[in-house]
Amino acid sequence: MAAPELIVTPKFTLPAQLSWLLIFIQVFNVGLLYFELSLWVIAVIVLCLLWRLLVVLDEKYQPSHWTIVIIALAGCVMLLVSSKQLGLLSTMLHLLCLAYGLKTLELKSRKDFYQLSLLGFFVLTSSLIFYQSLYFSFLLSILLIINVTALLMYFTGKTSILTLFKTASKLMMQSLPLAIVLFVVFPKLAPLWHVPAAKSSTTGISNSVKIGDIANLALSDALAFRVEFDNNAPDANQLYWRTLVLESFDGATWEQSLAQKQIKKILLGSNKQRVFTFEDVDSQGANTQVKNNQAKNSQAFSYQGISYQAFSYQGISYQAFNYQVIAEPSFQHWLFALDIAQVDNTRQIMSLPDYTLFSRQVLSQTVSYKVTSYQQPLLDNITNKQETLLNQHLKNNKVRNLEFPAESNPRLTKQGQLLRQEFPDKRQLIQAVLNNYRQKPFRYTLQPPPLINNSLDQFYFETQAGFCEYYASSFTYLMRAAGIPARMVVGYLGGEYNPRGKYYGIYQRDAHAWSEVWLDSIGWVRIDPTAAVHPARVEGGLPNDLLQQQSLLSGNFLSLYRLRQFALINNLRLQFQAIDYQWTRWVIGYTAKNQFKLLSGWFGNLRPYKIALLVAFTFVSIMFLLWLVNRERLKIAPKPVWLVLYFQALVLIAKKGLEKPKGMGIWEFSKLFSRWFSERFSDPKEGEFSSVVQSFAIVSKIVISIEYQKLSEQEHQQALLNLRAEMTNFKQEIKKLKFNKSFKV
Amino acid sequence: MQESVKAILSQIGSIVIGKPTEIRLALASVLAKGHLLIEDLPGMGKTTLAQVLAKTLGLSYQRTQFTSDLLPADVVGVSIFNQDERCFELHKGPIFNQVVLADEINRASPKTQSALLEAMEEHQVSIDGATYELPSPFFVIATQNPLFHAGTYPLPESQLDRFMMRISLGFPDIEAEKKILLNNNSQNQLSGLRASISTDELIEIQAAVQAVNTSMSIIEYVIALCRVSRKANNNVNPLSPRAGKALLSAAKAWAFMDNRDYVLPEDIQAVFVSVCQHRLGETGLDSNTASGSQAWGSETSGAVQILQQIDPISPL
Repeated sequence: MAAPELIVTPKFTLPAQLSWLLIFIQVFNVGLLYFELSLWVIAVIVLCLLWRLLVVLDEKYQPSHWTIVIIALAGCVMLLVSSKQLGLLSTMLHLLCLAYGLKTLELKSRKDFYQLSLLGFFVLTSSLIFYQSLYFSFLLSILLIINVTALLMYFTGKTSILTLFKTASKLMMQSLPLAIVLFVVFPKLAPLWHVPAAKSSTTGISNSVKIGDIANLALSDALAFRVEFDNNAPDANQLYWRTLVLESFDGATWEQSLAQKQIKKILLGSNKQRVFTFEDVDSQGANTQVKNNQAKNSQAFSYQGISYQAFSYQGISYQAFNYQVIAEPSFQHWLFALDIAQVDNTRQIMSLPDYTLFSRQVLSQTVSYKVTSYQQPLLDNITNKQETLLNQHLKNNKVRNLEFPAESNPRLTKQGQLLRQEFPDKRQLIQAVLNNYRQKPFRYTLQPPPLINNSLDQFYFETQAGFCEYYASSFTYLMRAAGIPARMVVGYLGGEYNPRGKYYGIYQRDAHAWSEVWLDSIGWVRIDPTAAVHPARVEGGLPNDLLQQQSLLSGNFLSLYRLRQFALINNLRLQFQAIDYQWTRWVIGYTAKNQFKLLSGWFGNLRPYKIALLVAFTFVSIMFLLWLVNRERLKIAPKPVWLVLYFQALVLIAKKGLEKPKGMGIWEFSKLFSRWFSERFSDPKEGEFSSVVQSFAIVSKIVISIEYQKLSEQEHQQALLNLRAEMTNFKQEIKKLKFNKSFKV
Repeated sequence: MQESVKAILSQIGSIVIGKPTEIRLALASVLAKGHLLIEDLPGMGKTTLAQVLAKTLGLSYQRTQFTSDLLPADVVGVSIFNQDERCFELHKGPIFNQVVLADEINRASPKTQSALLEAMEEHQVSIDGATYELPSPFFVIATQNPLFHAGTYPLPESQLDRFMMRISLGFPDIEAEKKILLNNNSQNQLSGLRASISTDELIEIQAAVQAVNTSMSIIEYVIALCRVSRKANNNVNPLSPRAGKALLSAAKAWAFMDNRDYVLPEDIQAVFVSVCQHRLGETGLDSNTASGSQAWGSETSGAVQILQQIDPISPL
């Protein structure tokens, strides 16, 4: 009986350096998603990586196949349980990351290494779903290059990370043109999943405002949105970015009234029936407003300012401003605009009756929209007579905005009633209240003394210190108590002009709250009580004393904005922001719609079949190009390892100045090298370097024996080993060579 | 065996002075079982080389001076009716020797030339319907005068192809010429030569040469060289597979003489010009100077150009 043949497959091992690099890469790839992953998944991944660390140190710690299977199954069950809460996208992401973490324990073959690398690329780029800023993209590119470096290290067998990193960077640079072409031309398909409003990441103003909310928001230096005006910008003190109108007050919290919510629902639902198309709302709204305004004299509270680009209708001109807003993802619905905003040609955005803009979809990514604002008094923006419900709400409008829980702040209520008796004229009444703010020792501060139960009474009569929402809230309450319909408006005030990018950046610290009161002859009129308390806030953003408070409170001492008085830092900051702005505008803002527009411009009217043809053509031509480039290469068998090593040696020698003549064989060249070397170093002092010649002679000899001699398998392996060893020696030797210029032949 | 080779080389070198490379090439041709064509001006030692070679190798040897009136029967032999025995009797020609020296082959008529060359290829001759085996080893050394000499019939390409190598001796250098002039009894020396090896030993060496290892990259190198000659537009006579075969055999012999049992690209390069130049249709002599100096040392030689185009380390 013949003995069974023993088949020994070589064990797959990664070089230690590559193993360390892989762990490093994994940590960072997953680290970018830290805020998007559940804690338990991160824990599992960390466990896997630590385990892998142990395995790298000593192979005996390699977990058994079943351990991995059990962890994987447990993870899947956990995912299944929490999938409802996480949503589809997040679940898939968790699954991907879990697989990425577990795969690291299963590096048993080349195939596994490929899978790990591929997963790495997926995990890394999936973080782009959540973050798209310029800085993040930069960080991501570097990590991408490091990922490529690991692949390079595997294939080249070199271990110098720095050189490999350089090569990888070069490769990335070379692929950049193709990437740009693909970015511009490749169809932007709608995502297969619905990008959810991630669990914690709603930012900016929320749909209800309590006392203290805006002060908290003002601690953040995060960007809210950016605005670029087509021609002229309004004065800084007119930059009231209306975001949300809050009509309902329960004594502590301002919220949107039921009616507002219903209107929103109707508008959202009415899309299909075309009862309320956006065009209808916009155009009719504008027309009726203008007509109404024409009938009424609105001089007293009209907006000041010189008329640059005038919007003129039947003799009365209103200033119009055209601008583009690029809103950062807030995972909310509301948008930002000056009064009275009309949005062009987008079906995604609608104007609500309270003049705010509302996005049909959650702002999960950067959204850009064009707005024209007519600076005219605000009338109610409801025009459609068919919509009886809306009309009813319109009638109730004033009533709604007079409601307040009288018992919540009895002293303010009483004060309101007193005022009502004292001033029959509403304008005088308003003026009196504002004067009161001005004359009493009210303080504008981010650190107001705490109020019991959010009591406005306490604020108005006792502490007299607060941020804008304290004033807006108390003012609105007082107005309602005095019988004047009033409402709370939340938004942003001002903004920082970036002269390099020629845009306004509006940050969360610019969050603001103000009031609107209804005057029968005019409509809704904006009153900002903060302006009465602290006029500087309205004129020039957060003043320095408040900024100091802000940085103290937020712990953000290095806030560049705080250091804006230093010209250099400020310049740098503005420059970075300008670059970021262009990035957001041109790269992030390059949506399917923009692409369609651009490609239409190039190729004329785009039809689906044209797009299909274009894509097919591009695909085919790229494939053809690849085939053409690789045709020659495909024919040639890959070089055996000893020749690769020999060519490395040749390159090293060529760097020192001697190139192998094309027709010369290995043996002849080693002799030539020796001759050349001795000619160049006739000086006996250089004699010590003859070890290079010897070393190269040995290298040549081994290569010759492998290449031309008949060797047994064992001899062959031994020769390869010798060659590798000698090559290391040769590399060191030739590196030592420092050519003295005087020896140049 | 290596000692025998060394002995042969030194013995030939003592007679043909100052031409070690040419001697090596000639010996390589013998060891690779190929025929040799020596092309040079008269008086350069062609005949001497052939004679010394034959004697040193211990082979039967006959010299035939080719002239324009030489007939095929003069080379091959002829059947003559024997009156006494009343039968035809073969009078063997000079070709029935182990080494045949065909002196000034290009002075003979094409008919005679082709009779010799046929025998070279077939290793047998047919006379009056009977076929006769030629002795073994069988080796033809032909000399020829440069083609611009009067009264020459150039060998056709098809027949040139039968010679494994064409070499040319060239003028000796000063030191060598001094020795030649001082040497008075060259004839005595020549006749006093003794064989260095036996025929059996020679056959053994030839077998050993055949066994020299040629790795795949050497084969590829040969193919690459042939392909280059075929690609070049101005080349009327590209290298045939037979040329490739001859190249490989010659290189094996060269490697063997270098005491190696494997062929290096350097071996191919060493024999390449001798093996291939006459097949490429080049004269080998610089007709411009008409001096008989070697042209293949110059950079313009087509064979050298072919060598320069191929990197032996990755030929294909």
